[in-house]
Amino acid sequence: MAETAMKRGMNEFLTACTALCVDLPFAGLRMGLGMSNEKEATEAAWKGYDATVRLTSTAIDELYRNPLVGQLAASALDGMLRVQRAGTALTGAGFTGLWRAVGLPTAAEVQTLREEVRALAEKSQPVEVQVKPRIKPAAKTSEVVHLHSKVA
Amino acid sequence: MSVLTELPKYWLDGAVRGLHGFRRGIGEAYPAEEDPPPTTPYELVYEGGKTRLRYYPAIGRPLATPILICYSLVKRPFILDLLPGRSVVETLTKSGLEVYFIDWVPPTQADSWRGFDAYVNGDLANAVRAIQIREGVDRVSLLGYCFGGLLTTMYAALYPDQIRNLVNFTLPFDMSVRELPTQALMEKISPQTMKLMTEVYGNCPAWFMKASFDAMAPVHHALDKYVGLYRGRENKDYVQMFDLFEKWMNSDVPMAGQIFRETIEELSRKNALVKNEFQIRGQAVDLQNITCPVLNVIGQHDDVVHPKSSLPLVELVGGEDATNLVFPTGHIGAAVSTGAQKKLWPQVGRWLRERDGLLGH
Repeated sequence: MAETAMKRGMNEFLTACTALCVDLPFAGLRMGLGMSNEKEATEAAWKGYDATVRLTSTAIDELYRNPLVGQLAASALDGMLRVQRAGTALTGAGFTGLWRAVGLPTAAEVQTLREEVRALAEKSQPVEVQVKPRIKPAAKTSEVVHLHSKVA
Repeated sequence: MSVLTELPKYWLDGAVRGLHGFRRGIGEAYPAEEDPPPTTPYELVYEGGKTRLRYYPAIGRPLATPILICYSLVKRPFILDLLPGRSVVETLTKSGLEVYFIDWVPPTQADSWRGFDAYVNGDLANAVRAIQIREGVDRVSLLGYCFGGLLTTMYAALYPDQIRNLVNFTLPFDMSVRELPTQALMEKISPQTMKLMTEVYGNCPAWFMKASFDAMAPVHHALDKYVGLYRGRENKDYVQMFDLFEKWMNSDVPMAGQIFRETIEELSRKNALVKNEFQIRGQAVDLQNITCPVLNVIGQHDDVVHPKSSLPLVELVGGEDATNLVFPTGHIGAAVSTGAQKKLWPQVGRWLRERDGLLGH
């Protein structure tokens, strides 16, 4: 698989080089000499752009596959989450203590409780009660009949 | 030159939208009210748990079996009903299907306990029951999109007597397939870090989901799509489509903590579903129990779920009538491309019609 990726990368590199270093200057030169119009040069420029985008995407894909990059990204995420957990714990400890001291729950606790009660209420109701009954409008029936007769 | 004046404008607009998406992903759940207006009119017929069940009436003579679309738990569902002529729902109703659609209510911190049990045995079971009652049928057809396909597959394995047909599209099934570059990156994230994430946030936060999706095509999201918009700026349809698509790309929702952990641990690391080792509330999810007809739609150029990951499903189900339908499209193209609406979804409609038996209610 690595060989295929390498081959694809090389192909894209060559395509980008050809588009940017050969096709684009050549199209520019032709336009400068009045041998072609602006459209041709613009098309060559976009081809160069597309080839560069493909090449960059392939390079980034290869970067993702690099174990070191993966390790770095994973460590960064882990570190960020640990800092966040520590921050939340510190803030929570301070404020929870304050609210507890005056005998009140925190807003988050109240919100959580409210949502849990709502979820329980929904869960305890049988489905039958909540389903909206099917009402077939007369207009629809006649429309169907009309369509049938058309087919017939 | 207009490319130098216009492109930065597009880019800046997109960057602001993207930042807004991230900012929202850090805070509370995505507000469903911000969804664009639906293309296909529907009626809300059942609400319970994390489910809002929509009903889209069939156009013309309806098939006997209604279909339930189980959307993914990732992002908002309007991608399946984006625009006239680019709507899976619209095409299926035109094929004579009574379409029911699960619009998952984004989970809040209080829902972090929700795992596959709550979603499959709870919400999905309730949605199926609601349809059975409303339509007076014993069986329904299921259609699962992406992660929603995992839920429908599990449901069909656990309740085979309730399912007429199972259709999945772009199903992330065989998690041992590691062909996508971002998978190599995600592999390096340890189970402890994933656990830490749900400890800190309760759920898997929306910003992480967004970052994971954006990382799949960073050049596209950072630059190329704006260049595409510049190049297609004269085409009004393209511009409209771009706006809606961007809205969808920034509509990430959190994933409930428990189902996220189960997905990472059981499905991704152990590949338990494919190995027939996955259990929900102690009950084995045996794929051999799926004896109904199965249609597995695969995007040939899917760069979110690799086609090889979806392919093995048909070999592992118990029924004889199981088909892979490979269509030359990508992950999102399967839902929104005009080609898919003209060829793929009418074909899915025909497949369902052939297996529906008698017409009419």
